[in-house]
Amino acid sequence: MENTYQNRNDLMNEILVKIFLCLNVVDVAVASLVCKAWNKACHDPSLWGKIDLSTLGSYCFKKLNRIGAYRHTSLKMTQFLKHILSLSDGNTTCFIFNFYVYLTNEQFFIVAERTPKLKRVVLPQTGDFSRAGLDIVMKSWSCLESITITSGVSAFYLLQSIGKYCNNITEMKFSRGCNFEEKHALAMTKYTPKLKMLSIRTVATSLKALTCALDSLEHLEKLNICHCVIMDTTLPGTYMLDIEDLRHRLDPSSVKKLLYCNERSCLRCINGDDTNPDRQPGGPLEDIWGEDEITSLAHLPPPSETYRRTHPRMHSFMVRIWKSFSSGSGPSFLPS
Amino acid sequence: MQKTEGEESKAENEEVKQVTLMTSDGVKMKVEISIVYEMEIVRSFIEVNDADHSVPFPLPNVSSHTLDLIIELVKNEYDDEFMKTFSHDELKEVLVAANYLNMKTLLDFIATAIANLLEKKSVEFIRNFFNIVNDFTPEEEAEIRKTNEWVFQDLDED
Repeated sequence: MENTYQNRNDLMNEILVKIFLCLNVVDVAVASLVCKAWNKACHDPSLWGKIDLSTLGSYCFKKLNRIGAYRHTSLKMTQFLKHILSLSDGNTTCFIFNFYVYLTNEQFFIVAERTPKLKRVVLPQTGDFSRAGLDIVMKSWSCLESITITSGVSAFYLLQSIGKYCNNITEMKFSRGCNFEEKHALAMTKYTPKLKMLSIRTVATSLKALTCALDSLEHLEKLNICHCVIMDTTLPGTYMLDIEDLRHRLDPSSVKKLLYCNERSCLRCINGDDTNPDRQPGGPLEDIWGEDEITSLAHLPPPSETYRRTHPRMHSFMVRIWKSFSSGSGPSFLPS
Repeated sequence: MQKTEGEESKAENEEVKQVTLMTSDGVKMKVEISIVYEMEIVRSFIEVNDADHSVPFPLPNVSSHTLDLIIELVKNEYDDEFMKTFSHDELKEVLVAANYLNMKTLLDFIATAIANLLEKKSVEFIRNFFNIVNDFTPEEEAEIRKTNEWVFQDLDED
């Protein structure tokens, strides 16, 4: 039994990794600068499969809740990204940017270059997403399977870049502020033909775009249209369609693929404008970006503990709904 | 309250269910089997060998003081307040012992508790709090400070 203590350093390393697994990414980055032993533990690949910057709160990053944050003081954010990516050593498969922090071209390239195994990425609300830049980034992300985009990036240009370099896209989410037009659906049939899950909840779209996506994407299993504004552009004037209209206008096999809000049953109705007040005093934009009825496209946690204490009744209801979404049973979005 | 015969014998049985552990400083301690079962390393031994529980099971890496703390922690259902009374050395010893004994719940509990202490703290604070010596060479330290300004000064949004 004597030798158990010989490997005391390994032992402490193992324990340190266990501790660091409970920390958010900023705190791991800080821990890596405490001493050599901690630095070594912080390189453990198990810490870096997923880099989630959605909650950056720490003593070093303050006042984040404004869209476009750190746009003019990007140097330190760049240094931070470089540091965590050097710790990750290329092992990251999921990268979630911070909703509020402005992503510069340089930072975008730094992340792409150092995450060659990336499978899922969630883009921030604002950043420098030039067409040429998207091309360079997507070239690094040839393993990419899933992406959440915001109105900060041109979906059309992005799809073109994806078409050039990423052949395995199966999931896509458009966040609020995007439009989903027929040109996007057409581009998808060409550039992301393997698409299985598509979420365009809360965005503006048209009947033509929906029909095109449903008819042409042969692997499509689910299309989330909760709270979409759906326009019928085939008629003169503007005519908004609801789910009853869609049932009449689409064939039944297509309707079956739709996830829609049925009598205030979707997460947006449940979470409402006052969700997670600690996270976002400014409104629900960030929640819309992070929540999704298709769980693999969601990344923000279910309602927080703090929220449970302040809104007990609402919380239990939300958790129930959340679980039913996660398990696939529970309130159905489909007409019975 | 009167006990029926069945309950009595059941209670007796439970009393019997103790395992003697021998700590590194030679102390024999009788420990309830429910607690012992959380120690994977002992449990696997007991389960395989239908051993006589009165023969002390040796734990050469765990002191009696540390084992006392662990038993108290488990008995108190992992009470945060109780753990806060530990000195850093005690905490470290409990952590090492929990790892050696392969007590998963206890390990998770302590890891989470320490992680909570580290949350949103500065490098200097952590070094002072845990009494950790900065062993980076002056050159390394200079490089760290140069490439990691984000951690050494307050960042303000524009």
